[in-house]
Amino acid sequence: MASDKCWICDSECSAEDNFCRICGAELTHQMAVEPNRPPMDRHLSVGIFLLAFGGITAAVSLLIGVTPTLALGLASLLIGIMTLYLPEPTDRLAERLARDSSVPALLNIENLLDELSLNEKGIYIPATGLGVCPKVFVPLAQTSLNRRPPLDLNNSRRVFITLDEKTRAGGVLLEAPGRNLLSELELALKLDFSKVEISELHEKLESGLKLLDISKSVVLDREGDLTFTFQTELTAFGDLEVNLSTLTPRVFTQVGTPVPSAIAAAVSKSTGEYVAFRQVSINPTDKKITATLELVR
Amino acid sequence: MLLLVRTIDSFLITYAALVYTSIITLSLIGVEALDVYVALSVILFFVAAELTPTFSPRNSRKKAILEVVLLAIFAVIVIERVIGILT
Repeated sequence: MASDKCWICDSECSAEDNFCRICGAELTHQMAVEPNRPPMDRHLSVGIFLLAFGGITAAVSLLIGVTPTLALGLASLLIGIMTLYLPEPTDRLAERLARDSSVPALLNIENLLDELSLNEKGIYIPATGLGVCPKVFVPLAQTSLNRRPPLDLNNSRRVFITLDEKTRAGGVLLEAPGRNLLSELELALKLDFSKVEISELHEKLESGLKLLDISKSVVLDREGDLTFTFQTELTAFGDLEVNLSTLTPRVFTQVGTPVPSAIAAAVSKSTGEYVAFRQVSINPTDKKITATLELVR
Repeated sequence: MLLLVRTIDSFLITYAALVYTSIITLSLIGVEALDVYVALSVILFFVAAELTPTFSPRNSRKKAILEVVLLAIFAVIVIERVIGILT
Protein backbone atom coordinates (compact mmCIF):
# COMPACT_ATOMS: atom_id res chain seq x y z
CA MET A 1 0.00 0.00 0.00
CA ALA A 2 1.36 3.42 -0.91
CA SER A 3 2.18 5.73 2.00
CA ASP A 4 2.40 9.47 2.37
CA LYS A 5 3.56 12.00 4.94
CA CYS A 6 1.41 14.47 6.85
CA TRP A 7 2.27 17.98 5.71
CA ILE A 8 1.93 19.30 9.28
CA CYS A 9 3.42 16.74 11.70
CA ASP A 10 5.45 14.80 9.09
CA SER A 11 4.19 11.44 10.35
CA GLU A 12 3.64 8.47 8.01
CA CYS A 13 0.07 8.21 6.72
CA SER A 14 -1.73 5.72 4.55
CA ALA A 15 -2.53 6.91 1.05
CA GLU A 16 -6.17 5.98 1.71
CA ASP A 17 -6.47 8.23 4.78
CA ASN A 18 -8.05 11.64 4.37
CA PHE A 19 -6.97 12.88 7.80
CA CYS A 20 -3.70 12.39 9.72
CA ARG A 21 -4.10 9.77 12.48
CA ILE A 22 -1.64 11.68 14.72
CA CYS A 23 -2.57 15.38 14.42
CA GLY A 24 -5.93 15.14 12.66
CA ALA A 25 -4.93 17.51 9.85
CA GLU A 26 -6.59 17.08 6.49
CA LEU A 27 -4.19 15.30 4.18
CA THR A 28 -3.42 16.70 0.78
CA HIS A 29 -2.31 13.66 -1.25
CA GLN A 30 -3.46 15.26 -4.46
CA MET A 31 -1.33 18.35 -3.85
CA ALA A 32 1.84 16.36 -3.41
CA VAL A 33 1.30 14.50 -6.65
CA GLU A 34 1.97 16.25 -9.92
CA PRO A 35 -1.24 16.48 -11.91
CA ASN A 36 -1.42 13.76 -14.52
CA ARG A 37 -1.71 15.98 -17.55
CA PRO A 38 -1.20 14.79 -21.07
CA PRO A 39 1.94 16.26 -22.62
CA MET A 40 -0.10 18.21 -25.15
CA ASP A 41 -3.78 19.04 -25.44
CA ARG A 42 -5.51 16.84 -28.03
CA HIS A 43 -6.96 19.83 -29.88
CA LEU A 44 -3.58 21.52 -29.96
CA SER A 45 -1.81 18.55 -31.53
CA VAL A 46 -4.58 17.95 -34.11
CA GLY A 47 -4.76 21.68 -34.89
CA ILE A 48 -1.02 22.03 -35.40
CA PHE A 49 -0.98 18.91 -37.62
CA LEU A 50 -3.84 20.27 -39.78
CA LEU A 51 -2.21 23.71 -40.02
CA ALA A 52 1.13 22.21 -41.11
CA PHE A 53 -0.49 19.72 -43.50
CA GLY A 54 -2.82 22.36 -44.97
CA GLY A 55 -0.11 24.99 -45.30
CA ILE A 56 2.35 22.67 -47.06
CA THR A 57 -0.32 21.14 -49.33
CA ALA A 58 -1.71 24.57 -50.29
CA ALA A 59 1.76 26.00 -50.95
CA VAL A 60 2.88 23.05 -53.11
CA SER A 61 -0.48 22.98 -54.97
CA LEU A 62 -0.23 26.70 -55.65
CA LEU A 63 3.24 26.23 -57.12
CA ILE A 64 2.26 23.34 -59.39
CA GLY A 65 -1.21 24.82 -60.08
CA VAL A 66 -3.53 21.98 -58.99
CA THR A 67 -6.83 23.41 -57.75
CA PRO A 68 -8.41 20.41 -55.93
CA THR A 69 -5.34 19.84 -53.75
CA LEU A 70 -5.08 23.60 -53.19
CA ALA A 71 -8.68 23.50 -51.94
CA LEU A 72 -7.83 20.48 -49.79
CA GLY A 73 -4.88 22.38 -48.29
CA LEU A 74 -6.94 25.50 -47.63
CA ALA A 75 -9.74 23.44 -46.09
CA SER A 76 -7.25 21.67 -43.80
CA LEU A 77 -5.80 25.07 -42.87
CA LEU A 78 -9.28 26.38 -42.02
CA ILE A 79 -10.23 23.29 -39.97
CA GLY A 80 -6.84 23.52 -38.19
CA ILE A 81 -7.53 27.15 -37.25
CA MET A 82 -11.00 26.16 -35.98
CA THR A 83 -9.57 23.26 -33.98
CA LEU A 84 -7.16 25.62 -32.25
CA TYR A 85 -9.56 28.54 -31.90
CA LEU A 86 -12.94 27.09 -30.94
CA PRO A 87 -12.41 24.58 -28.08
CA GLU A 88 -11.90 25.86 -24.57
CA PRO A 89 -8.70 24.52 -22.95
CA THR A 90 -9.59 21.61 -20.67
CA ASP A 91 -7.68 23.01 -17.66
CA ARG A 92 -9.64 26.28 -17.86
CA LEU A 93 -12.86 24.30 -18.15
CA ALA A 94 -11.97 22.20 -15.09
CA GLU A 95 -11.12 25.38 -13.18
CA ARG A 96 -14.49 26.90 -14.05
CA LEU A 97 -16.32 23.70 -13.13
CA ALA A 98 -14.59 23.64 -9.75
CA ARG A 99 -15.48 27.29 -9.13
CA ASP A 100 -19.10 26.82 -10.22
CA SER A 101 -19.43 23.79 -7.94
CA SER A 102 -18.88 26.01 -4.89
CA VAL A 103 -21.87 28.24 -5.69
CA PRO A 104 -24.63 25.85 -4.48
CA ALA A 105 -22.84 25.42 -1.12
CA LEU A 106 -22.80 29.19 -0.61
CA LEU A 107 -26.42 29.44 -1.77
CA ASN A 108 -27.29 26.98 0.99
CA ILE A 109 -25.58 29.21 3.56
CA GLU A 110 -27.38 32.23 2.07
CA ASN A 111 -30.74 30.45 2.45
CA LEU A 112 -29.85 29.40 6.00
CA LEU A 113 -28.99 32.98 7.00
CA ASP A 114 -32.15 34.23 5.32
CA GLU A 115 -34.39 31.58 6.88
CA LEU A 116 -33.06 32.26 10.37
CA SER A 117 -33.13 36.04 9.82
CA LEU A 118 -29.51 36.29 10.89
CA ASN A 119 -28.55 39.89 10.27
CA GLU A 120 -25.45 40.13 12.44
CA LYS A 121 -21.95 40.04 10.98
CA GLY A 122 -20.08 36.75 11.18
CA ILE A 123 -17.24 36.64 13.69
CA TYR A 124 -14.04 34.80 12.79
CA ILE A 125 -12.84 32.88 15.83
CA PRO A 126 -9.02 33.04 16.03
CA ALA A 127 -7.26 29.73 15.42
CA THR A 128 -3.69 28.52 15.33
CA GLY A 129 -1.89 25.85 13.35
CA LEU A 130 -0.72 25.35 9.79
CA GLY A 131 -3.70 24.74 7.49
CA VAL A 132 -6.22 25.39 10.26
CA CYS A 133 -8.83 28.01 9.39
CA PRO A 134 -10.92 29.99 11.87
CA LYS A 135 -14.61 29.16 11.90
CA VAL A 136 -17.25 31.84 11.52
CA PHE A 137 -19.85 32.36 14.21
CA VAL A 138 -22.95 34.26 13.12
CA PRO A 139 -24.79 35.37 16.26
CA LEU A 140 -28.56 35.53 16.55
CA ALA A 141 -28.24 38.88 18.32
CA GLN A 142 -25.46 41.15 19.52
CA THR A 143 -24.65 40.33 23.14
CA SER A 144 -21.38 40.50 25.05
CA LEU A 145 -21.21 36.70 25.03
CA ASN A 146 -21.94 36.45 21.32
CA ARG A 147 -19.32 39.04 20.42
CA ARG A 148 -16.50 36.80 21.63
CA PRO A 149 -17.61 33.17 21.40
CA PRO A 150 -15.38 30.53 23.04
CA LEU A 151 -12.20 29.64 21.12
CA ASP A 152 -12.91 25.92 21.36
CA LEU A 153 -15.81 26.38 18.93
CA ASN A 154 -13.15 26.04 16.26
CA ASN A 155 -13.06 22.33 17.11
CA SER A 156 -16.81 21.94 17.12
CA ARG A 157 -18.64 20.20 14.30
CA ARG A 158 -22.03 21.58 15.35
CA VAL A 159 -23.92 24.20 13.36
CA PHE A 160 -26.48 25.55 15.82
CA ILE A 161 -24.73 26.77 18.94
CA THR A 162 -26.29 27.83 22.22
CA LEU A 163 -23.80 29.74 24.35
CA ASP A 164 -26.10 30.41 27.29
CA GLU A 165 -29.23 28.42 28.12
CA LYS A 166 -30.77 31.20 30.23
CA THR A 167 -30.42 34.06 27.80
CA ARG A 168 -30.63 31.76 24.75
CA ALA A 169 -27.53 33.50 23.42
CA GLY A 170 -26.20 31.62 20.45
CA GLY A 171 -25.93 31.52 16.72
CA VAL A 172 -24.79 29.52 13.76
CA LEU A 173 -21.28 28.16 13.39
CA LEU A 174 -20.04 27.94 9.81
CA GLU A 175 -16.90 26.83 8.05
CA ALA A 176 -15.31 29.95 6.57
CA PRO A 177 -15.98 30.09 2.81
CA GLY A 178 -12.27 30.88 2.38
CA ARG A 179 -11.20 27.88 4.49
CA ASN A 180 -9.50 25.89 1.76
CA LEU A 181 -8.15 28.98 0.07
CA LEU A 182 -6.41 29.94 3.32
CA SER A 183 -5.02 26.39 3.61
CA GLU A 184 -3.76 26.64 0.01
CA LEU A 185 -2.12 29.99 0.82
CA GLU A 186 -0.41 28.57 3.90
CA LEU A 187 0.64 25.49 1.96
CA ALA A 188 2.01 27.58 -0.90
CA LEU A 189 3.91 29.91 1.45
CA LYS A 190 4.80 27.08 3.86
CA LEU A 191 3.85 29.20 6.84
CA ASP A 192 1.23 29.37 9.55
CA PHE A 193 -0.45 32.80 9.52
CA SER A 194 -0.85 32.65 13.31
CA LYS A 195 2.94 32.93 13.51
CA VAL A 196 3.12 35.88 11.12
CA GLU A 197 3.53 39.33 12.63
CA ILE A 198 0.75 41.70 11.60
CA SER A 199 3.37 44.02 10.08
CA GLU A 200 4.43 41.21 7.72
CA LEU A 201 0.92 40.00 6.89
CA HIS A 202 0.38 42.33 3.95
CA GLU A 203 3.56 41.16 2.23
CA LYS A 204 2.82 37.48 2.89
CA LEU A 205 -0.79 37.74 1.70
CA GLU A 206 0.22 39.60 -1.44
CA SER A 207 2.93 37.09 -2.35
CA GLY A 208 0.61 34.14 -1.61
CA LEU A 209 -2.33 35.49 -3.62
CA LYS A 210 -0.04 36.35 -6.52
CA LEU A 211 1.61 32.93 -6.32
CA LEU A 212 -1.80 31.23 -6.62
CA ASP A 213 -2.73 33.67 -9.42
CA ILE A 214 -5.75 34.87 -7.47
CA SER A 215 -5.09 38.59 -7.44
CA LYS A 216 -2.88 41.16 -9.10
CA SER A 217 -2.39 43.33 -6.04
CA VAL A 218 -3.27 43.46 -2.36
CA VAL A 219 -3.41 46.54 -0.12
CA LEU A 220 -3.84 45.91 3.61
CA ASP A 221 -3.82 48.92 5.92
CA ARG A 222 -4.38 49.17 9.63
CA GLU A 223 -6.48 52.15 10.66
CA GLY A 224 -6.29 52.66 14.39
CA ASP A 225 -6.23 49.72 16.77
CA LEU A 226 -9.34 47.91 15.66
CA THR A 227 -9.79 48.43 11.95
CA PHE A 228 -8.14 46.96 8.87
CA THR A 229 -8.97 47.81 5.31
CA PHE A 230 -7.96 45.69 2.38
CA GLN A 231 -8.28 46.08 -1.33
CA THR A 232 -7.44 43.40 -3.85
CA GLU A 233 -7.78 43.24 -7.60
CA LEU A 234 -8.84 39.73 -8.52
CA THR A 235 -7.79 37.66 -11.50
CA ALA A 236 -8.84 34.00 -11.14
CA PHE A 237 -11.87 34.42 -8.84
CA GLY A 238 -13.10 37.74 -10.29
CA ASP A 239 -16.21 36.49 -12.09
CA LEU A 240 -17.12 34.11 -9.26
CA GLU A 241 -16.87 36.85 -6.62
CA VAL A 242 -18.97 39.25 -8.72
CA ASN A 243 -21.61 36.53 -9.20
CA LEU A 244 -21.61 35.65 -5.52
CA SER A 245 -22.00 39.30 -4.49
CA THR A 246 -25.37 39.31 -6.29
CA LEU A 247 -26.43 35.67 -5.77
CA THR A 248 -25.52 35.52 -2.08
CA PRO A 249 -25.61 39.09 -0.73
CA ARG A 250 -25.91 38.01 2.91
CA VAL A 251 -22.91 35.69 2.66
CA PHE A 252 -20.96 38.38 0.81
CA THR A 253 -21.54 41.09 3.41
CA GLN A 254 -21.91 39.07 6.64
CA VAL A 255 -19.58 36.09 6.29
CA GLY A 256 -17.44 36.80 3.25
CA THR A 257 -17.07 34.97 -0.03
CA PRO A 258 -13.92 32.86 -0.63
CA VAL A 259 -11.28 35.56 -1.16
CA PRO A 260 -12.44 38.14 1.44
CA SER A 261 -13.13 35.27 3.84
CA ALA A 262 -9.60 33.89 3.43
CA ILE A 263 -8.14 37.36 4.06
CA ALA A 264 -10.35 37.89 7.12
CA ALA A 265 -9.31 34.47 8.42
CA ALA A 266 -5.64 35.34 7.85
CA VAL A 267 -6.07 38.63 9.77
CA SER A 268 -7.81 36.75 12.59
CA LYS A 269 -5.00 34.18 12.77
CA SER A 270 -2.23 36.77 12.57
CA THR A 271 -3.70 39.11 15.21
CA GLY A 272 -5.12 36.31 17.35
CA GLU A 273 -8.30 38.40 17.58
CA TYR A 274 -11.96 37.94 16.72
CA VAL A 275 -12.59 39.55 13.33
CA ALA A 276 -15.79 40.65 11.62
CA PHE A 277 -16.57 42.37 8.33
CA ARG A 278 -17.74 45.94 8.77
CA GLN A 279 -18.18 46.67 5.09
CA VAL A 280 -17.35 44.86 1.84
CA SER A 281 -17.91 45.76 -1.80
CA ILE A 282 -16.78 44.63 -5.23
CA ASN A 283 -16.40 46.60 -8.43
CA PRO A 284 -17.72 44.38 -11.26
CA THR A 285 -15.65 46.23 -13.87
CA ASP A 286 -12.15 45.80 -12.52
CA LYS A 287 -13.01 42.95 -10.07
CA LYS A 288 -11.60 44.95 -7.19
CA ILE A 289 -12.76 43.97 -3.70
CA THR A 290 -12.63 46.58 -0.95
CA ALA A 291 -13.40 45.55 2.61
CA THR A 292 -13.15 46.89 6.11
CA LEU A 293 -12.45 44.41 8.89
CA GLU A 294 -12.99 45.08 12.53
CA LEU A 295 -11.26 43.43 15.45
CA VAL A 296 -13.99 42.47 17.92
CA ARG A 297 -12.98 43.12 21.52
CA MET B 1 -20.34 21.27 -19.83
CA LEU B 2 -18.72 18.05 -21.04
CA LEU B 3 -21.60 17.76 -23.50
CA LEU B 4 -20.60 21.15 -24.91
CA VAL B 5 -16.99 20.02 -25.34
CA ARG B 6 -18.19 16.96 -27.22
CA THR B 7 -20.39 19.26 -29.32
CA ILE B 8 -17.33 21.27 -30.38
CA ASP B 9 -15.62 18.03 -31.36
CA SER B 10 -18.71 16.77 -33.17
CA PHE B 11 -18.99 20.11 -34.99
CA LEU B 12 -15.36 19.90 -36.12
CA ILE B 13 -15.72 16.27 -37.19
CA THR B 14 -18.99 16.97 -39.04
CA TYR B 15 -17.51 20.01 -40.78
CA ALA B 16 -14.30 18.18 -41.73
CA ALA B 17 -16.30 15.23 -43.11
CA LEU B 18 -18.57 17.50 -45.15
CA VAL B 19 -15.71 19.64 -46.52
CA TYR B 20 -13.40 16.76 -47.43
CA THR B 21 -16.29 14.84 -49.05
CA SER B 22 -17.31 17.87 -51.09
CA ILE B 23 -13.71 18.53 -52.21
CA ILE B 24 -13.29 14.91 -53.34
CA THR B 25 -16.67 15.02 -55.11
CA LEU B 26 -15.93 18.34 -56.84
CA SER B 27 -12.47 17.18 -57.94
CA LEU B 28 -14.01 13.95 -59.35
CA ILE B 29 -16.53 16.05 -61.29
CA GLY B 30 -13.61 18.06 -62.62
CA VAL B 31 -14.25 21.47 -61.08
CA GLU B 32 -11.17 23.68 -61.45
CA ALA B 33 -12.42 27.01 -60.06
CA LEU B 34 -11.03 27.61 -56.57
CA ASP B 35 -13.85 29.98 -55.60
CA VAL B 36 -16.36 27.14 -55.97
CA TYR B 37 -14.46 25.08 -53.41
CA VAL B 38 -14.15 28.05 -51.04
CA ALA B 39 -17.80 29.08 -51.40
CA LEU B 40 -18.96 25.53 -50.75
CA SER B 41 -16.67 25.29 -47.69
CA VAL B 42 -18.27 28.46 -46.30
CA ILE B 43 -21.80 27.14 -46.89
CA LEU B 44 -20.87 23.82 -45.29
CA PHE B 45 -19.61 25.68 -42.21
CA PHE B 46 -23.10 27.07 -41.64
CA VAL B 47 -24.66 23.66 -42.35
CA ALA B 48 -22.38 21.97 -39.80
CA ALA B 49 -23.05 24.73 -37.25
CA GLU B 50 -26.78 24.19 -37.65
CA LEU B 51 -26.44 20.41 -37.37
CA THR B 52 -24.56 20.78 -34.06
CA PRO B 53 -26.20 23.88 -32.59
CA THR B 54 -25.26 23.71 -28.90
CA PHE B 55 -22.33 25.99 -28.28
CA SER B 56 -21.36 27.41 -24.89
CA PRO B 57 -21.67 31.25 -24.63
CA ARG B 58 -17.88 31.62 -24.93
CA ASN B 59 -17.77 29.37 -28.00
CA SER B 60 -20.80 31.11 -29.49
CA ARG B 61 -18.88 34.40 -29.49
CA LYS B 62 -15.92 32.73 -31.19
CA LYS B 63 -18.25 31.08 -33.71
CA ALA B 64 -19.89 34.43 -34.46
CA ILE B 65 -16.48 35.93 -35.30
CA LEU B 66 -15.74 33.01 -37.63
CA GLU B 67 -19.16 33.40 -39.23
CA VAL B 68 -18.53 37.07 -39.99
CA VAL B 69 -15.11 36.30 -41.53
CA LEU B 70 -16.46 33.44 -43.64
CA LEU B 71 -19.51 35.45 -44.70
CA ALA B 72 -17.18 38.26 -45.82
CA ILE B 73 -15.15 35.77 -47.90
CA PHE B 74 -18.38 34.41 -49.39
CA ALA B 75 -19.58 37.94 -50.19
CA VAL B 76 -16.28 38.75 -51.95
CA ILE B 77 -16.61 35.60 -54.10
CA VAL B 78 -20.24 36.37 -54.99
CA ILE B 79 -19.46 40.05 -55.81
CA GLU B 80 -16.50 38.96 -57.94
CA ARG B 81 -18.75 36.50 -59.83
CA VAL B 82 -21.48 39.12 -60.33
CA ILE B 83 -18.91 41.67 -61.59
CA GLY B 84 -17.55 38.96 -63.91
CA ILE B 85 -21.03 38.35 -65.34
CA LEU B 86 -21.82 42.04 -65.73
CA THR B 87 -18.56 42.99 -67.48
